[in-house]
Amino acid sequence: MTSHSTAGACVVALLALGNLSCRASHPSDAPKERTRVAVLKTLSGTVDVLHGGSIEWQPAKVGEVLWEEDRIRTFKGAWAQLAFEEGSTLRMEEESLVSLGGGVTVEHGAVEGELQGDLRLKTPALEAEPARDIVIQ
Amino acid sequence: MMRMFALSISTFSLFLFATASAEEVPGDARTTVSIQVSEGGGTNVAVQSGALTVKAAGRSEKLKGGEGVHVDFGKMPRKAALLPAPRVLAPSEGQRIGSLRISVVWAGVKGAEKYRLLVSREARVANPIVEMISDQTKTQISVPAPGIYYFRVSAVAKGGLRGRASPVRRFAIDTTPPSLKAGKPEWK
Repeated sequence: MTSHSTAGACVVALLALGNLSCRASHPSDAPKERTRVAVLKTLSGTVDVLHGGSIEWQPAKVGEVLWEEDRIRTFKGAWAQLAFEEGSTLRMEEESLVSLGGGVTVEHGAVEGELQGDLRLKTPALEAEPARDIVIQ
Repeated sequence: MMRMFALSISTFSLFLFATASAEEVPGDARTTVSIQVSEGGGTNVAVQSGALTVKAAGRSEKLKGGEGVHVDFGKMPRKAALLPAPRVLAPSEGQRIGSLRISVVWAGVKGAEKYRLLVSREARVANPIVEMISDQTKTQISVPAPGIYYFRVSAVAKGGLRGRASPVRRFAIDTTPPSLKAGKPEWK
């Protein structure tokens, strides 16, 4: 009985350690508590992603999934096209920084694109969202 | 007869009551927009199509296609009409060009400080291969290879607010040399 419980405790400890080590080495691979927001559809030049919970910027890859709390930056001469879950597309222009979560926050630089659904855009100065009309049907 | 008429009126009212409902629908399914943020946080928003609600400093502005707004950090939004689209003079729609270097010319727009030219392989000019800012109304661009290209030009107002984009125009680069004429030479 005692040997069983000791073995069980060892298994639990090993599993916990395995989980910890996975999280430590790939903080961005386990964003289970965060919402998927967009996919990086295309890019050109140097584009980096800072995944939520991480402290290190990583080179962005085409097809990479972007989650809430992620940040993306483009350098001189670079751009990135983001495709959002609800159908919006935004092109980040060179030397831009955006963060995701509760919409898209353009911290600096420029974005251009087509908004669909309720995608909210924010900057340090304003908030914007596609206008909706009240109609009687 | 009167009773029947009254009954049909009341039935019609009931039908109206049952079917009428206030519903929130998008003003336009797609809103095409550009947003520029300067180092100090000042923001320009230009709406090309659709409609956008902008909120800043407790005030809300609804923008429709052809309208824009400038907002400085902590200040009220200042609404402005976008500059009109420049009229593109060259190349003409569908023009075939035998060189990888092309001249693009457009008519000046009153109030424009500079112009923005985008050239792309895609008809929507979504992923431009050339993005150029110029204070002239004529520029030379180079494209990497023969093929079909699309471009559009917009004027940029003082302060950076982007104007309406010109309709997308297409040109074809064909650098194939003319075929040689085979046959017996004719002596003159």
